[in-house]
Amino acid sequence: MRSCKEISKLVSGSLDRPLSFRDKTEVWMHLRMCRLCNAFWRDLQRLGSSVRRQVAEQEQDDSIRLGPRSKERIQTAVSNRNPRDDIDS
Amino acid sequence: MGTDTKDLTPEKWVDRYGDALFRYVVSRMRDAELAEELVQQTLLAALANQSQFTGIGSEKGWLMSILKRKMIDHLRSQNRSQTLHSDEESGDPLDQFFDRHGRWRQRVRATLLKPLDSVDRDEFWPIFQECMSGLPDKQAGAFLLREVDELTTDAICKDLQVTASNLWVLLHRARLRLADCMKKRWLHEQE
Repeated sequence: MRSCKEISKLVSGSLDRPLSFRDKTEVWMHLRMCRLCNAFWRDLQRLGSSVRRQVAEQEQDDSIRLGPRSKERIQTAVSNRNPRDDIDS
Repeated sequence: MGTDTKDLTPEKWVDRYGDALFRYVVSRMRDAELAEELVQQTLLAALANQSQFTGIGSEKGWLMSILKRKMIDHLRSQNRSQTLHSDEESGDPLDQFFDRHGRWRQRVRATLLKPLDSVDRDEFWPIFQECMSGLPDKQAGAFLLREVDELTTDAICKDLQVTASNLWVLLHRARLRLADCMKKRWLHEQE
């Protein structure tokens, strides 16, 4: 029987790769009996989905953008280094 | 002059992709100044390495990949914690959570049993950032690339230059610490 420590590694791992049938079964059986590992499993799912949601909200927010002065500054930096700077850009 | 040919248009990068690149960093790091800095570094690096653009994939995708590398480099360069460089820490960091029989330690159990979804939405990100900044460098990078960008193991291993089993260790540790840290911070704020 695997320890909670070992199970926590598999629980985490299950988010990144498919577990073997044996591992999956053992994890499932352990989670049925262990409140603590269940809580950890729930935490991992919640952590990932919350972070993803919050990042996505920001990524879709068009008001988050470079200010005109920043754009100018960066454009200048790029133009100064760009040997092919076209006149009509 | 399409975006999937080998013809790059550096003079148009800021206008076309500047905001998207900026938003990528801000949404993860919540630091506008840092984001600007990384966008500039990215465009200058891209300018210097135009020959590396294969034409496979878009100009935007190529710039984004450079930006991601810059962000990871930034995370790695931060002196994030008192512990040793990268993910090498003295002793097993899991000792904080598990006793020598592999059982959850008494002192983490109460926190563990409190659900993470009790963390208020508005409080979530500042607490998350604070907890991220406590992670050893590669753990933070691994977590972002896997959980937010949802890259495959192979892709992340290339980015961070670690083996697959290293990566899974990094992610396990990052997740344990983040979940625990966030709940502790949130509960402390509640007092």
